[in-house]
Amino acid sequence: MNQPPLIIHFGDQAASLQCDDPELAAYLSEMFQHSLDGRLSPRTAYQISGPVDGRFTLSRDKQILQTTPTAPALLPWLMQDLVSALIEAQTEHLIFHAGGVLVDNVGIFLGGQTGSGKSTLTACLLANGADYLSDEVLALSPATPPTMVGLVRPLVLKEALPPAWAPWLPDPTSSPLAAMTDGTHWILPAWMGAAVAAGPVPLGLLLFPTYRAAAPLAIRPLSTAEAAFQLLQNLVNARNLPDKGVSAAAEIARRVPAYQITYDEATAVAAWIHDNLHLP
Amino acid sequence: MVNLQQRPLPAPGYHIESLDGELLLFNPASDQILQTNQSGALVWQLCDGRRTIADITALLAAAYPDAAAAITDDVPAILAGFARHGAIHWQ
Repeated sequence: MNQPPLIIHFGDQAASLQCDDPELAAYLSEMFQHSLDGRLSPRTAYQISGPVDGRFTLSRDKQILQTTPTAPALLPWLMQDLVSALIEAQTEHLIFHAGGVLVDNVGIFLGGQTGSGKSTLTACLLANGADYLSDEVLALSPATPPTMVGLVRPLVLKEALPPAWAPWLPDPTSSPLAAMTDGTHWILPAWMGAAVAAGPVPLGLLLFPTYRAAAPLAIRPLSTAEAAFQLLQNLVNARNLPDKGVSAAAEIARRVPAYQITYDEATAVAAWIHDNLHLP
Repeated sequence: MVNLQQRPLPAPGYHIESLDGELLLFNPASDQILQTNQSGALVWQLCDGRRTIADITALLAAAYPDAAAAITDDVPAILAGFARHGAIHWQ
């Protein structure tokens, strides 16, 4: 018997996801539990079906995207395509390649390209009590005050367990990491003991971190123009927005303090945030 | 070697977002985005295709005499940066 489809939404877009494999369907339900909302009509329909002749199939709108010998092997393909489908048509929000957490009811934006240390910093902040929004994609609204919503998904690691993460995990030996066929490892935020901030949260701090081994902690306030420029470097749906999102990014930069951070120890950044979050 | 008699003119199509005295220069046709500090913003605003580099330098040096020496070095460098990104043309 087919499982009912999940309706996964983010910003103003939604996609349906139907999975015939009960075990994988349960994992997907847990993975996307904070993004389920049937109020929006899905624009895209995904299906994981099989096995047929020993292979499972991932399709989008009835077009086959990938077949694999096991159903879980389809997850990296699904995640990549689903995230693209959810963000590429967004017109009401600014969508950023960024991580996000909520600390003391202040939304913290962590911008930066792949490899800048967003996921490590996100994990460290979760271990220090922050609520989770996303490690990869945020939707910002230049409302008054600006708000942000995360595309809630597992934290994705490029290696099994970076040594720096060990102190932040409740039991590193229990190996809860879901190892994916593309070499990544996924951690559900709940396993780290982190709550999820699923709805819009007030955006209070823009951080642009860069990890650099052995570098001393360096924190520099950004001017408004620098912050807007940095935001625009991480904006992924510019083509859908009036003036490619420049005015909206500038409006956010005018209202939200921004810092460039170079760090080696994520815990030092977490301590700085704790000490400075509520300063005028 | 900088020719101080060159006359910089902003390339067409740039939108300007002014932010606390600094600028974002955005060209929607090319998706080029540049960010200038306050010095760059002042230089940009003086580029009209009529003033030479020497004229711009002299104007800013007169307005900020304490920084005249730095301005002499900075203006050609700022304009070279604009030109490298295609944000100005030389008349």
